[in-house]
Amino acid sequence: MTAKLEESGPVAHAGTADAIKSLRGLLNTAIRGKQEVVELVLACLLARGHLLLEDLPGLGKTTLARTLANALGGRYARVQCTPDLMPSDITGFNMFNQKTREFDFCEGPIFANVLLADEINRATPRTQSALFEAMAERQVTIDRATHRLPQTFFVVATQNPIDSHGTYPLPEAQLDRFAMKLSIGYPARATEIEILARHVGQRDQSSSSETAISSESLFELQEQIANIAVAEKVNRYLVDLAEATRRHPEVSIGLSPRGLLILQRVAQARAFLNSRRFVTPDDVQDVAGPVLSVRLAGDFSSPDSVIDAILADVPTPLWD
Amino acid sequence: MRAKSAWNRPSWVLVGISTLMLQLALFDRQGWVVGEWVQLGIAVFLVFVVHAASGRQWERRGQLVTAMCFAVLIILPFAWDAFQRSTADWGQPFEIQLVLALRNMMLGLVAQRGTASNKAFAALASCFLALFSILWLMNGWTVALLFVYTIVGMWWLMGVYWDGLSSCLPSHSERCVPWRPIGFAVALGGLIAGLLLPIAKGRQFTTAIAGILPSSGGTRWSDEFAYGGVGDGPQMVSAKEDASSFGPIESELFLESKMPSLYDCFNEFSNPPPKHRTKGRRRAIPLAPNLMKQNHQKRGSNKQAGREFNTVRQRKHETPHVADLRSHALLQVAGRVPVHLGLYSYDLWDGHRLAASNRTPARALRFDTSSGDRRSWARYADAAEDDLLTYRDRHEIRIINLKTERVPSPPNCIGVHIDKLHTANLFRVTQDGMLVMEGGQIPQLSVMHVESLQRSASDTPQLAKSSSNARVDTEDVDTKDIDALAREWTTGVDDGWQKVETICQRLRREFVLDAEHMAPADVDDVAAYFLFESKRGPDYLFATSAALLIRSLGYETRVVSGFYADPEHYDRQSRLTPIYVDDAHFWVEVLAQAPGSESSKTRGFHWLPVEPSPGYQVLLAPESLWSQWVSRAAVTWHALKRNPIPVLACLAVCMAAWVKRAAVGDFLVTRWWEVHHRWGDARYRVIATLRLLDRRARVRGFPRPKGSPVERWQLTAAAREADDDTWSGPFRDLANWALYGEDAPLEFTPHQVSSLCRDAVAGAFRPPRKRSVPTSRRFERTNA
Repeated sequence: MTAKLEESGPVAHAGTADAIKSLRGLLNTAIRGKQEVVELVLACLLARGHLLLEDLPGLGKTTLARTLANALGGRYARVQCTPDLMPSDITGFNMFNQKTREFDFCEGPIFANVLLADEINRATPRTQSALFEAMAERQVTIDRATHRLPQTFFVVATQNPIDSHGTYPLPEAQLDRFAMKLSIGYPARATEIEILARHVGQRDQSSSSETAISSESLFELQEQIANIAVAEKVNRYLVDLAEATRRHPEVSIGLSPRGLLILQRVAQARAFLNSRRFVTPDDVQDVAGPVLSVRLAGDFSSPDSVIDAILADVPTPLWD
Repeated sequence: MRAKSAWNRPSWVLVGISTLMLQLALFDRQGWVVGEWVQLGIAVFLVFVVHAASGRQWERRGQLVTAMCFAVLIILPFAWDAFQRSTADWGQPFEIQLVLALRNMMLGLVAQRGTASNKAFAALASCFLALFSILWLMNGWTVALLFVYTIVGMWWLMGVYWDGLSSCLPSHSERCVPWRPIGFAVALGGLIAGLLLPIAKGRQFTTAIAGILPSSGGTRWSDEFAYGGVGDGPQMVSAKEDASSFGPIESELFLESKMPSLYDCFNEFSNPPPKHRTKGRRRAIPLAPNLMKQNHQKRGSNKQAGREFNTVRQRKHETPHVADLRSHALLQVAGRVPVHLGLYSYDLWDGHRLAASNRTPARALRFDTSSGDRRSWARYADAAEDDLLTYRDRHEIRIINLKTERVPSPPNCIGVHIDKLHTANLFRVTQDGMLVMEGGQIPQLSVMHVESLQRSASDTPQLAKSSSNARVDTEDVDTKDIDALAREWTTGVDDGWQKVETICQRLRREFVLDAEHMAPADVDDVAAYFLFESKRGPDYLFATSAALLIRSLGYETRVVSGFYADPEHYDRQSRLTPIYVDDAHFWVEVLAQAPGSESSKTRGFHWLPVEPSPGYQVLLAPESLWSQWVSRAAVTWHALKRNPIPVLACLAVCMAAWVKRAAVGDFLVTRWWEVHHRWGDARYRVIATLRLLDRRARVRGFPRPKGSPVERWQLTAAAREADDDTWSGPFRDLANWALYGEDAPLEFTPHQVSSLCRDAVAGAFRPPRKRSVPTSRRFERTNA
């Protein structure tokens, strides 16, 4: 688990390895002392998933999302979700052009490479549902016209878990379209001291605007990751995990087949980031927590204990 | 998959139990046959190969190897049988070969990994084999195994059913084991088994289902190695036209026979006895006249009153012809052996001859149809168990080649039965206390059922003292020396049975049984000559001397001649013990009295056999399991006491091995790894290394949790080891590749793989000791 892509292993080409290294560096600069979170964000990005950041205010959710958006290049859009936000405010709308006597389509912010949906749970369910098609199929259908989104379309949504006034919990269908849910958490004491020291003399907090990887390179990387090998016994292990989530007494909604595919893909990305050409159960277990926590529903306060119990209960494949 | 694999273990248990039952049945039938165990060993080896080949480490070659192993497993019994028939003149019937092939296939199926349907087929085959085995051999062990098999089988069936049912339930339903139905089913099964067991132990059960089983031809017309099948056995047909059709009783074809009698058997060994003057007889009667029962019933008469046996004989020295070397059995005995089958008793001795006084109290026979086996028995009127004779035994005797009217009967015989014979008048009791069949000789091939009572080995009989007028000494026989010898041998020994045992043990220990050594004709007392001069001789001299010695102490004795069913002759295939001419034998019987029968004058007196001849044993009641354990423990304890130094040395070695068990086990496993890990490819070698490390970690107290991947677990466990950096090196990548990188190229050279494996084995999880420096750091990962 210590072998990273910057070791320029045989899995990635030198160019892509440098891009990943640069991207990792930018994120680690924006969010200090959270290397494991950064690795998971990278895995989510490379797996073509969408990311939900859930944490308390002021822990760097927006900073991380903005830095990531800037680092990926392409078009970046941010939507500050509010209760009066309408679906057309996100997807766009057809406007009648008086001159041409025709309807012109005005693209919404969703037509971006990276969409930051800040405080997504403050939007109404009607507005949230506007993201369904875009997140699952990377396209938007408005007035019988389907508009394709960029291949590297990536949604980073944030939400505040404790401030429930005026919020609308995300529906399960929406949650299942996110690849993973991450919590950044408080930094360590030494990290906080370092953050304070680095911000002395700076007028405001500004995220880096440096681009680490182009959309085309990112798309190639995502294609490459899809070809990471998964052994049959690892696939069986994935299915065992899914069945265990469906059988667990505290879980009412287990892992769906779409969630299973996402788990496999994120594990592939994790193996790629660990410079490996194949997936191991360690990769699966590394990403199982954030991937499962976003989509398991049931009678529990925190899904972490349930996920830990499932991971401990399902036998990992060895030489059998 | 988890649910399916959970039921693999019961499949193994079912297969294991059925295999054990089959092996027990085979062992009971054919005894210790080395070739069969070699065949089983080959089959087990192939099963292990199937188990290994069905894993992933052999990749594509696994399928080919598995198919070849299955082919060999199925062909093996037939090929092995052909080999044995050609080389060792021994073989198995065809149905047994089929069963062995099924056993091998069942073991192979259950050993193959990853296929649930194979486990189901294996369980089905195990069911057939278990039923086959229990029908073949029904004893305590197989019944107990079948009981366990039934419980595990029910558990397995319910588990399989539950697995199938759970797939139909909603995904969020809770899965739990149905303890209540299982408990109910187990209780019901136990109740049914408890009700059926007494029935199953009877002969009717096995007889009724014997015809269902396939047979290779019971008459062996098609296969000389065939076992008994339909058409033979105890229910034989009458021989009305052809003698070869085997008629046991009704056939008159066998009534006229010139077969030899018991006396002819003894005469085969020796020339006719010399003429000798009649001396005064030393007489003794078993019971005093005041103990004799006044019986007004018809009393059996000895047609050959004054029958004698002269102990002065000369051995025949004839050159045997080749045709004479093959001895035909006189009798066949089914039942527990060794058993003495008495024909004549003697209680008179004149120094040369044994004779019967014909003054044994008369005993009456009655016809008994109240037996639970629905047979008609001719029983002694006063025959019943008491505190001395506690065990009722039964033997079946088939008269083959013996011309006699006397029924060869075990000591304390209480009844006799012949099939289709519904009268007791055909039997009578002779004046020397033996059972006789009226109407001439017992028809050849008659099957006679005899019941007898036996005492327990743990009981010490109370001997009946002879009355003052029970012995009649004559002037011609000087018994002073024998009396003195008996007193000398029994000095300091408690009165009663201990003295009898002391005398017999002395004779068995210090005297030589030599059938060739006959007493000279010119001695006055052959017994004295045997005791004081020759100290060797045939069994009748042992018996006569023992009877005189015991009698001199005041106990009633008699000498009995008959046959000794030697357990060495037991034929496992036919389950019969043949009795040959050589088994004609003499022994002694001592009159004992059952505890609590002092008030009765007739009841409770029994003739108990004792055996003074070396190499012969007396049949006693079977010991209970606890008694067997106690006696074996006593024997073991005495053996330990006799050999203290080797025992202490073994104990020291065992204790050292126990203290150092981790190191010893690791040494053995590591040596095995060194041998076998070279056979396979790189992946096989790495996995063999991982298995070794897994075992070591388990022994060291770091067992891998089932949900923990090997890398994560090894890193955690390795962190507890102070200087173990095996898993931080390239071996971790190698292990991941071997386990999960199916088609990924290997990034190490074969030499590096070997070195990394050796370093891992040399360093990881070893018992604490000085370790070699790992060389893994010398290797850099290279691109394939």
